Amino acid sequence: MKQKYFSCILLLCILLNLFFPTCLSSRTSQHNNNWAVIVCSSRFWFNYRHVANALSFYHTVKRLGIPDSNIILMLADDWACNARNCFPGKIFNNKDHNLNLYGTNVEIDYRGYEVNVENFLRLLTGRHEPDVPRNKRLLTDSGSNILVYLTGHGGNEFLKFQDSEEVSSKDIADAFEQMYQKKRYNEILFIIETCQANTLFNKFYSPNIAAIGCSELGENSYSHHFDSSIGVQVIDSFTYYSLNFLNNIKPGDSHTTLEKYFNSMTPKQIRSQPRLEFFQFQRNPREVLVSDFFGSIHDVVSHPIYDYSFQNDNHNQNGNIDANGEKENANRNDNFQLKNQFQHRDKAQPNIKISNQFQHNLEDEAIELSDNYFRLGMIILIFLIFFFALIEKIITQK
Amino acid sequence: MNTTLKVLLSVFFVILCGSPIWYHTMTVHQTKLPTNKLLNLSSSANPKISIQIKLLFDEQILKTQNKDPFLSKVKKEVTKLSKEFQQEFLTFQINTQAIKLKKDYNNMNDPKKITKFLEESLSFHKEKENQKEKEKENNTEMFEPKYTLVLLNIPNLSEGIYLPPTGRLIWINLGESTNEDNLLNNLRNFFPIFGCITNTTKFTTQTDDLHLSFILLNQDPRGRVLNWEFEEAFNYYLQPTLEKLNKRFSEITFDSEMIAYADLEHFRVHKSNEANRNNEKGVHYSISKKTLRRVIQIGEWSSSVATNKPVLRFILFVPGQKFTPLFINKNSGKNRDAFIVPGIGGISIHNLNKSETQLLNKNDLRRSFLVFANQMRLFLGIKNLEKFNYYDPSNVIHDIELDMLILDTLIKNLNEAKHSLVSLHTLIEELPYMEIPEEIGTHIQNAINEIQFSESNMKKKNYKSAYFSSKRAIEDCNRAFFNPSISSQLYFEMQNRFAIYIPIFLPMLAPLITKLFKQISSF
Repeated sequence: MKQKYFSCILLLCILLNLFFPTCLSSRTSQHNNNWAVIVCSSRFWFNYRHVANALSFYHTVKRLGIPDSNIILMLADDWACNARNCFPGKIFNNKDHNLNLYGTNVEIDYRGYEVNVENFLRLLTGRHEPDVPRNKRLLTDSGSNILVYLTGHGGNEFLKFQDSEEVSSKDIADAFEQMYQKKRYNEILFIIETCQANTLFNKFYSPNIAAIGCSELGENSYSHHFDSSIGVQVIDSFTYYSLNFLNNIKPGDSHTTLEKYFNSMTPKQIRSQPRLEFFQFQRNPREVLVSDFFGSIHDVVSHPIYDYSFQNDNHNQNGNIDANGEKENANRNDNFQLKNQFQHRDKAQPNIKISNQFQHNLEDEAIELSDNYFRLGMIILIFLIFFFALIEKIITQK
Repeated sequence: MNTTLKVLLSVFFVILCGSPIWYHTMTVHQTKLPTNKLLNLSSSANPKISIQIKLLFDEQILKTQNKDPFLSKVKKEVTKLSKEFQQEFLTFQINTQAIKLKKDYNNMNDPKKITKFLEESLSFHKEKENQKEKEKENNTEMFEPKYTLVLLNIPNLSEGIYLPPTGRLIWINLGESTNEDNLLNNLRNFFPIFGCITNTTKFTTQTDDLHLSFILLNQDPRGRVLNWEFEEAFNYYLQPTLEKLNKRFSEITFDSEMIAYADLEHFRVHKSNEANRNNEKGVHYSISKKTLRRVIQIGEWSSSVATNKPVLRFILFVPGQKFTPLFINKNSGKNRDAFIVPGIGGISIHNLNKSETQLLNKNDLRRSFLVFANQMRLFLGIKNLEKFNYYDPSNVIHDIELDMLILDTLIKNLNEAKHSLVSLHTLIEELPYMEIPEEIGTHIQNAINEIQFSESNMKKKNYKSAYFSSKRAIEDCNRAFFNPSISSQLYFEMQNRFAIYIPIFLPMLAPLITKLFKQISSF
């Protein structure tokens, strides 16, 4: 009886495996090229981990197929040649020093003080001075999927640039809207790794944007580990666990979804609450692939050849393009609404928030609690120092 | 009045006179924009394009029918069909007429001869000469969407719609069956030509100007160094089409390049002994469509051209000797050797025979350039339609297709220009403290003028001028929209300016004010 039961289940599983893939709806995106904008907005030696984050993502997207001509890399400082770097010309994201991120094949497009809010927004909106070279321009079109990765210090709805200025969530939202108005993207994946990162996409209102942040309002983003030989933290937790996942993805992967990538990181691991949100995404968000943004897989359309020379045997050589090339996206509306586009529009699809399903456990609360105790302790200590200094003064005066 | 009071009063007098000047320097210069015109323009609908079709029946077809009832019935059906295919911006005006053709053409079986015969019979030559004279007078090329559709029955020729490469004469061969159903079916198959422009495979760009890059990619140079007679082949196969496009549609430039060695990291092939596409037995290599998606990495398949225009690549890929012959596997089992990668370009695989030399001449390149011609059509968005016979290799894009491309692009340009102006206007309103230089105002005004000029030309049915005006409108809109001075980071609200100046002036003014009060109170 048991054997029959198990054999039925096995048969059912086999049948499901055979039929289930064909029942899945199409996962294809409408994009035909990929771009990446990777920004490290911090300077100073102690923010070493931010450049390691940025370069880690840079190498990942390169490995998965996006060429340098389609990557805009912005690094706000030069850590590789910093006088404090005991490994000159090298940057590592791991204390084992397995991989030098700053090799000979890193093309930095904006470096040093060129990395500022104005240039960042000009990059997104396309409003450059005429003498700006091509490698510093985001030459996207309506078929471009763009990965925008920002890392640095941030707060409630802002990101700090160069320790002197900030870009707000509204500025970024407006920039994306202007890109949408001029059809300069197909879809955007916005990844932000700062403190209170999730607040930076609170103001997004343009369609076809997916956003991943690593920490909620009031939360910090933590580093992963410290490298005693370099003397600083070398990578942040979010990037560390992202790389753990992305390193297992091969170029041309067509199965791994963005949701799977997001769910691979738990709040327990990164010690903050990440969020994945989709803004008026035209496709089913659960079918968005990692390779739609991180790689460069191109749709290929084979076509018959029409021989234009006439043949006497009345041979009619007509044919049609394959199915991949023919289906128009019914959701896409080419007739623009000539109304005020900058206000919050009626959303065709609601924003979809996916928070990690794991609950805060006791250990997470303990970390939060210990942080609060530490702060309280510092305040008490400072108070005591002043108190005793005052008493000493009174005594000496007497 | 003592000296202190005099000094204080003179200081305050200077401050009083200087404040308006200071405030004036704080105000932001904003050039006046034609807001009302802009909003009126954006809400107005585009004029419709009227396509005139003269439907001519050869009387021989009508021998089997009652002439008048048949004609009126067909007219009704055709009007129905035209409404079915009518688009937002297209309307049809159809005239039906029976004609008597002089010569017995039923025995002809060469479409070129039949076309020539029809042109002579219908005095198309005279019309062409008149048109040329008009063009010389006006110093411009005329473009009127007027088409003549002739229905014939030629039993020796296959049934279908025949598109001559030049001119606006189209003829339908009904074959042996001249009944009403067959006729209406053929007409139904004809009307889709007016919607032959698709966005699915179109190479999307902000403007229609393109740069074509032709690349000979030799995977493995061991044992052979390839070369090609590109110029001869291009001049023969593609030059006429490009000239036509440059004259009437957009500025297309091109270049050619040879890449002697291609290091394709993800290149994986499958060896097979089954029959290939030519039904020849023997070892051959195939690459599946799935693998192709990984193989095509833009960095490896790019040319080194440096241009500000969008680049469309046509790559002639010669696989290494180890992987020859190479085909692309389709699911149904048929092998192909050409494909397009939307957004990048088209690729044709050229398997080098042992008999071929390392110099690919015009004849060797015939098939590949035919492939490129097909791919160019796809990238321009021109669909190949069923039941249409394309029979002249010298012209890849037919006049009617080019007409539809121009008209479709004209409407899109106008919509895009109006949309851009509205977006820009909204953006400027959101930033009241942003400087708007004269330059932006000029571009906006020019764009509005071009849009109005284009629409008035459309009403006069001068579609060529309308099209080029719409192109200029888009360019002006883009210059205004992407002007570098439109950056909210550069401008501050008035309260920010007060916040900047108060710390400077207040410490200076405080003692002056208190002294003044003391002096006044002492009086």
